[in-house]
Amino acid sequence: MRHEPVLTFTAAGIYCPDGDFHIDPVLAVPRAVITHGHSDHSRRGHESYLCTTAALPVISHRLGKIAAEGIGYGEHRQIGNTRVSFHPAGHVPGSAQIRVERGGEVWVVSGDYKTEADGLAEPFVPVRCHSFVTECTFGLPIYQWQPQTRIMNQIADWWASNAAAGMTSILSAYSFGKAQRLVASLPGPILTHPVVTDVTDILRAQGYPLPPTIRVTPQVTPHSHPGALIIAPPNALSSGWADRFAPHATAFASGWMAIAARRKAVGRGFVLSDHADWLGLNMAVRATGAARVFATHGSTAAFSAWLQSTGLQAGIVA
Amino acid sequence: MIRLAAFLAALDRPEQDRARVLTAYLREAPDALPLLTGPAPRRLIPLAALRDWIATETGLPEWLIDASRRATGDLAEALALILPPSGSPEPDLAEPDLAEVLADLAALPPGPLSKTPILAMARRLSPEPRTVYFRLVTGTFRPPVTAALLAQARSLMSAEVRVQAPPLHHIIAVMIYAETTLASGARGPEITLAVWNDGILIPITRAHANLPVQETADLMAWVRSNATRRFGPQRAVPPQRVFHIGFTAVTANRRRKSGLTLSDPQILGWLPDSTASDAADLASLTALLPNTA
Repeated sequence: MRHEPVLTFTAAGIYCPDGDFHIDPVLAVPRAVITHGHSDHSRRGHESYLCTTAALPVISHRLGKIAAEGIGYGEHRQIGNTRVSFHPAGHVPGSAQIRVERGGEVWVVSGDYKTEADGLAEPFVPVRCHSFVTECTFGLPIYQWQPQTRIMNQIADWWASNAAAGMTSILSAYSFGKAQRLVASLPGPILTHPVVTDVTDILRAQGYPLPPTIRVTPQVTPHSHPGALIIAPPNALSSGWADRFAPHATAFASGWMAIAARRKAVGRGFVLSDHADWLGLNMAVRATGAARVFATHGSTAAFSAWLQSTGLQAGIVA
Repeated sequence: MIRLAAFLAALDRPEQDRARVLTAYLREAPDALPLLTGPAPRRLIPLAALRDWIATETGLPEWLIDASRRATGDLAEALALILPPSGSPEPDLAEPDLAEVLADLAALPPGPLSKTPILAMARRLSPEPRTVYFRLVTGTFRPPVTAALLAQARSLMSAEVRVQAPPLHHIIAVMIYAETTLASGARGPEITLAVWNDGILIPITRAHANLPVQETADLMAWVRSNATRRFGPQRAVPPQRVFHIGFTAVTANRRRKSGLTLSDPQILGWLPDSTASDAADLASLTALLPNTA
């Protein structure tokens, strides 16, 4: 007789007792099943890693020498008496939702996901399940994204007006995912901070459609590249790395830029997120057909209460 | 409304040159000034009533709107974000501007306000302009421009107008008259400059001296002690002070003795080592006339 659920929520993270593995664990564990390569999901110190083949190069680049294995989207792997498979989450290149089946009962852990196709990440595919563990970073109705093309046009206009005023444009974005999405969607050539360049080069070598970029070396100056757009990680701005490009205009591309108080702190904000918005979250939850939903990351209390008000059994990953 | 929202955000940003931000905006949208300096537009509907409208419109429970307000720290902003974005494919181009919004509000029928026209306008606006719009209709818009900031922006604007037109041509001319008693401030006395035509000095333009403070004071003293005649504030002086002047264009003007007008004349500097004989010939100016026959 089975008494334990397929997935449980422990101090180390989401745990599957029947397969004896953790999903995106926050503490060091023997077997880590990883949704994607962002550092809050893919941490150091585990004895073994399982992720998609597409996610593996960036994870290896970031974590160094690890015991890691890649698996294709949709392939099945028997782990203990569970069947595990990975399905596109649309968050960043290689990102996955993880499906765990035990004796006909299906759970899906979304990882981070986005429902709008961005032209780079493998587009999100809803997976039918009985229980769905969903992120809800932007799980409030104030978060409703506009189409990516509109935001990219805003960024291109900002860049053009800075260039016309003789200024370098420095756009701050996470070095894996957001940065490449910008590179893929904006007119080039674009200059990239070395940290961004390394990840971009890895993804380009994997075959992701990324145009050429120019690495910012000490030889790159406002004189050699007047009116350029530089994509840099957020800490490059706070560390003073960008000072030598003065006069420059700075901006940040993130879903958090929907909030005026957050925009105010960064100069100019562009609302561009790698996470699902309010409508995307609701659509994704419905599309799974799950009767039971657990919310994690972000507005968990409000989002799970909202799901309950629509008749679903909803809780919080705790 | 996009421009207004962007301006308000820029004005609110730390480490901004607020006068410069205001100057740039007023150059684009001079009609917005009354709104910026106040008084604030009167309230058409209480903010709480707008919240109820949006709740009805979206079907969202009040507690979720409260949670949203806590996340933004601002109810008008939360309501603007909660109402779905406009569906227009080219929204930036199709969005109403401030004038259209204000005209729309002014045309509302008197009596109790109906939510239909208010929300219809809101739906045409993207989130940031929509927040401003909600502040306007709920009487929570705070005019952001103080009298001091406006004065600062205005002086900035006139300073920029002065340097806006870079001179394209230079000549040397000699002073023949000067106005010394006008309160011409930092720009110095207005002087009349002349060039040669058949051995006679012909006045071609007037310009403010606009010299360094000490040079201006010296010039005034020289004019006072060397004036040969005076009529009103004008003093005739011997043709001994020579200046380098710049201008952007020459146009024909039959009413002038010289037959021409210089555009945007500026005194670029005093040439203390030059004499009247160094002044240019009128022919060098007529050669610059467009379509010279």
